[in-house]
Amino acid sequence: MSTGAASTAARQSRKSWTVVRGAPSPKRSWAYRIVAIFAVIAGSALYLVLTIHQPDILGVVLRESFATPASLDEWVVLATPFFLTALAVLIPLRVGLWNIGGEGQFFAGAWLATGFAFWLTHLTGGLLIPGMLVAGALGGALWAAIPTLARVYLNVNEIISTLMLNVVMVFWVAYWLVGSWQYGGSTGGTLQSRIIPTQAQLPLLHVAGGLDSGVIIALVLTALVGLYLHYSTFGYQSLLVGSGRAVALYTGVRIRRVQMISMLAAGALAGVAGVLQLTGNSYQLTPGLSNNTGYLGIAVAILAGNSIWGLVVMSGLLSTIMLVGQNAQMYGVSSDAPFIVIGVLLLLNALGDALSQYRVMRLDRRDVSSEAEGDDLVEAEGHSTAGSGAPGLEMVRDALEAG
Amino acid sequence: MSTGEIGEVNKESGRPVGAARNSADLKLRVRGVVKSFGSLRALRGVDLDCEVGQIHAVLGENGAGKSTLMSVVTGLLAPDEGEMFLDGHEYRPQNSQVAMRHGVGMVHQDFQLIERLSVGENLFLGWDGAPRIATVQRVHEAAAAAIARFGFSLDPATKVQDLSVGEQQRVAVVRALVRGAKVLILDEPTAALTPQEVGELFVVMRSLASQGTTIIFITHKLREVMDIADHVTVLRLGERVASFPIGECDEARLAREMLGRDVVPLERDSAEVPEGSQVVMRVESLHARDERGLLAVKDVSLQLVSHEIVGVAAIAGNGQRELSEALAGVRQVESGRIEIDGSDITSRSANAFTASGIGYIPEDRLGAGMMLRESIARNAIMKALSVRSERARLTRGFLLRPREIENYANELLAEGQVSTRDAGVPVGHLSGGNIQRLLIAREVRIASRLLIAVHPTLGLDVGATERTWQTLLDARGRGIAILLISEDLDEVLTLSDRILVMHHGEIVGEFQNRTTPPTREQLGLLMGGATPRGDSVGVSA
Repeated sequence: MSTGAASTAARQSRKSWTVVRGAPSPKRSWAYRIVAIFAVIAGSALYLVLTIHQPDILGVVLRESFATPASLDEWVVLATPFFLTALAVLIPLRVGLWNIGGEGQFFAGAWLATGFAFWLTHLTGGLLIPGMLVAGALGGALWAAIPTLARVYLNVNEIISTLMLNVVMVFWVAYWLVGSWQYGGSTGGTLQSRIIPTQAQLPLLHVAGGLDSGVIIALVLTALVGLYLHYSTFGYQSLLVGSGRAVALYTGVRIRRVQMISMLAAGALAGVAGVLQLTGNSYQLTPGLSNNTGYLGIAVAILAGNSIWGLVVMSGLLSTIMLVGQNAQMYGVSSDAPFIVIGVLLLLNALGDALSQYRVMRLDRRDVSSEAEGDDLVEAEGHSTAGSGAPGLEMVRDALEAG
Repeated sequence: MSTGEIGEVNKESGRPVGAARNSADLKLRVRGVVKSFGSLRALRGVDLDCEVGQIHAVLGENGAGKSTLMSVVTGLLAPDEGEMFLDGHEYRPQNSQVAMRHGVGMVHQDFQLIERLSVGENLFLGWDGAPRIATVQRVHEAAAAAIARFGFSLDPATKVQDLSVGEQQRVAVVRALVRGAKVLILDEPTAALTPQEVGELFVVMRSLASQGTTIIFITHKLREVMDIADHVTVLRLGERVASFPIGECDEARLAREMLGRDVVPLERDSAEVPEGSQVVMRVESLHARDERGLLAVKDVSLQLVSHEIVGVAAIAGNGQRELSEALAGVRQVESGRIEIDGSDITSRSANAFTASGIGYIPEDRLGAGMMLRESIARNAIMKALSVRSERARLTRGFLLRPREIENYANELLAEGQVSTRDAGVPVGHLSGGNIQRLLIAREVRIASRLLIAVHPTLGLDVGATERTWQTLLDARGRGIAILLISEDLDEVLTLSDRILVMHHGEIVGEFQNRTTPPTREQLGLLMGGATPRGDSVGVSA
């Protein structure tokens, strides 16, 4: 072997493109997310054009979705519950809990508010709707309390318990819908409640598309939660809890208390979403009242990337997808299509999050070694791996071992 | 090793490489090595000359370029400029295997052994020269022979995980020697050793050097350089600032070369703990368990007094971490009692301990002490919100006051001399040293009664260490009690008024460091579990 010759060859600069792994970067993650959104939009458009054999199908669907007098109203109405059901996921996420029970809490709120409206019909309108909102918040919070207590005191996995309790709540609602609340007394064939009294219905802001005033309540609540998370001592405590058990113990923050408050607030917000849907929109309790918004809230919260602004934007995006889906349905597109689109979007988003910790850099091949002096590299990059405290540049070595 | 492999003609110059430039006994010559990472120039033209059988210390602060230089020598990094010669021949390793084939081996700080395998298996694993097919027994026989050849005593069949740190290090040294290392690079080899083990390591180094092995000894500890090295090269900011035989220098000169300035003497306002100091914390027969549920702190009783630094000397894993956590309210206490200023806070949370004026620099700075993804401002108030007076400033009702929080963070940045002034930067973007300075500043700020400091200077360079020590002494001067837990005996001996030695969760020795300072050997023996001699156990204040 002639190392001499080889070493002379090695003197040539051997710069090459290399994938470098660092801390996950929110900026890159948003960039990937935006790319994913455009990819999904383009894919959906292509699908529509290729499968629905009608001239100008794209233009027709888009006009119906965005350019009719009612379209803006419908868009807002669809987005309204997303704000709240997404908050119901985002708040617990900040303290390290997954609330998959938004759907059940939504119905718990709607159910208790329906009962409130039926039992206390004689209350004047000025008190009835606020009363229903409080009842809805209470119902959602109580329903969330079960998995929360189990989690905090018995360490029962909240992902599973919240998810399972959704099913329980749907059957509980159905029980009332075939019972005393049934539409048209005991003779009706379908699962729906009687219409709630008119004084329990939210005033409309714009009649054309049935835009109700619920969106104002939802946006105000969203803003309050945003302020609370970012500018209150409680929001700061939830940050401590969400930063891991070691940090929470180190600061002595009361983990259980913060987790319970977060989950109960989440349940209450999902419950209010149910009330808004009931009093603003459908005026009766049905098993389809949520239109899956309890689950779609999870998607919104994930796409929001832990940001209140992101949450508002993504609520609008999901509402767009649902709206276009509804309109495309008239032309033979499956009613499942919006859910497929959202699923693909989530998948691409997860990929983007994973990719956001990698960067492509031009490096000297032989510098690329996990044994290289990490500190110098860290200083040079001004950047280190969060969490582990290990030197920031951990190279992907597969491509390099060959040399 | 076959020198024929490298004895080639330099293709560029056309003459035999290194001829007529090397005195016969120069083992390794490094000439003008430059290495940059982006805009950072880690090495700016460094020379290094090591003779055969020499113990050559490479001294420098963190970031001086010691490790980068060694990475170049062992082929992990390619130099941008400069050349190297081994035995007078050009030497240009492409990777660490090639370096090893040329007889340049390195023992890393973490040894890089596989703990679940035996000593013998570790010696031969991943080595070209290992027998292709061999029974475990044969591997162990070969290992035993190799170990004996280099004059070590190690049982080749023992699993590495059952060895002490010092023994593991010896395995790593033998592993390099078995593979033909003639130049042995030891990267901060004394960092994890007890004083006794350091002594044993030095004996080994001396004996290897006398057999003709060239040893490059990387360190930032001046005393060790004076104790063992024949020659020292000092690096500062990527440049060689001095290189001389050990006979021509002393510790003060080395420190000056390494820092580029004189060492600032520590200012201590009084040597004695003043009369009338109050008891700040009283701990009675404390027991606490570790994560595995084992009793890690056993029947510890102590008193911490204002104006006093109490050092705890112990080998890692002897309960000092659990003790510090229990005293900071982070770890639940099994039994016993903790009083602060006379009131019992045994079973309260860390929040209550902070409110009582206890600051805590934890061992796990990155995991527990900081939220790396959050801004400096958000990390700055982690403790302050528990302290009534600071809380009044930083909040209004249940709302945070962002402007005040930013000011508070900026004050900490200034106090800690952190190299950024932007409190909006995520803490994870700071270097380890800066994170540590920020954390120390934060904890000193809220420690109105007691500061518990665990390894406060671990990973800091000499300058930052000096400042941290001065910070601790200043806090002592203000009447704050300080519990200093450190594996660095120099630190404990330098700062402490009183020294406690822990072994297996118990306090096994106590010394009044100002009046009857213990020797390093005394401490080392107690730390290692030797029965305390009657006269070494002083009486508590």
